[in-house]
Amino acid sequence: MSEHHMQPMIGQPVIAIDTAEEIGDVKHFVVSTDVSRVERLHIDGRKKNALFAEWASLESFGADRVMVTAADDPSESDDDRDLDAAKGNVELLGARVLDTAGFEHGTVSDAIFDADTGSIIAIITSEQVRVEQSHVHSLGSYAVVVADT
Amino acid sequence: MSQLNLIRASEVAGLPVVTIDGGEDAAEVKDVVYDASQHHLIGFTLNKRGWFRGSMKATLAADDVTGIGADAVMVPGEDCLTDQAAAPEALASPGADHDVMGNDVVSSAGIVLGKVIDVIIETGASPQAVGYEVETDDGSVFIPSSAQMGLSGENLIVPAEAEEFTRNDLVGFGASVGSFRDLIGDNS
Repeated sequence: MSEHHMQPMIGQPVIAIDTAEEIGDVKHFVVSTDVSRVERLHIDGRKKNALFAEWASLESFGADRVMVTAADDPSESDDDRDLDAAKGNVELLGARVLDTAGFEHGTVSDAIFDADTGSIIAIITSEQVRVEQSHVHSLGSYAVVVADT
Repeated sequence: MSQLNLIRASEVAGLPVVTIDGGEDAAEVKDVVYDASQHHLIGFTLNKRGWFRGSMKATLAADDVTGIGADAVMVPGEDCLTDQAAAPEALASPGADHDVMGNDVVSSAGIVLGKVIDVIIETGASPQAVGYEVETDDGSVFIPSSAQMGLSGENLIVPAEAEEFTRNDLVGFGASVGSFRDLIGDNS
């Protein structure tokens, strides 16, 4: 397992291994509704429309750069969740943290994921509480819902 | 004795209704529907969220709520919102006989204690109405509800046992309701 923090990756340049070309910067992590895994990256590039790199096309998350296998791998998307992520409507980092009893606990300040598999391991709240993925129910446009403790 | 977490019904109005399986704000509570004759929380009428605010046709039954907190009403999923046509009649068309607000609260000894200004709801996994906030000459107090209470639409009759468990703060009332239930053998 290779644990990485999500927050420091935001804004990192994305480089294609096959062309050594810089495609753009990491803008958002698109995560599944159940917050179990990173599905793709939203890359803020030179093109007008948002680009998304599928998890399978991501080669590595380095300290300075995020590497993708090929320059033509990232593509546009018409998936609603991707587009919501690109607009910042569904975004794990900064999301309101709400428990199943209906009480807020700040926002998501960071998340930890496995760079080998894309699995989300935990989220960190602005109250400096680590919530394991097994206690996270969902991420939507309103909140990330966590178990009541 | 158990400590309950409580909220005023008036504070629930306006809260978002959020889905646990999707993290979406599916609706907003418009009003709390309460059957005063049975001292029973029935559910909620709803407003739309976002740009196109206004009444929703859907309603939400109290049985479908998994938590009421200070910040949101939680439901398992959006399918818990029931179209008004399919909702129980008490929820789709709440009658005037369910209204308790403004009723005089009278003890069984014949003393007028004040007027009902709010209904108190227990939060948590099985939300239910547990008492009333009553405005008196000396400020507001909280009185536990029970099946023994009588209601006419003008007067709410409080049994003598309930008076003993009256409190003037909501936190203290949470413990008081637990004690009152223990006394009358109601552990619901």
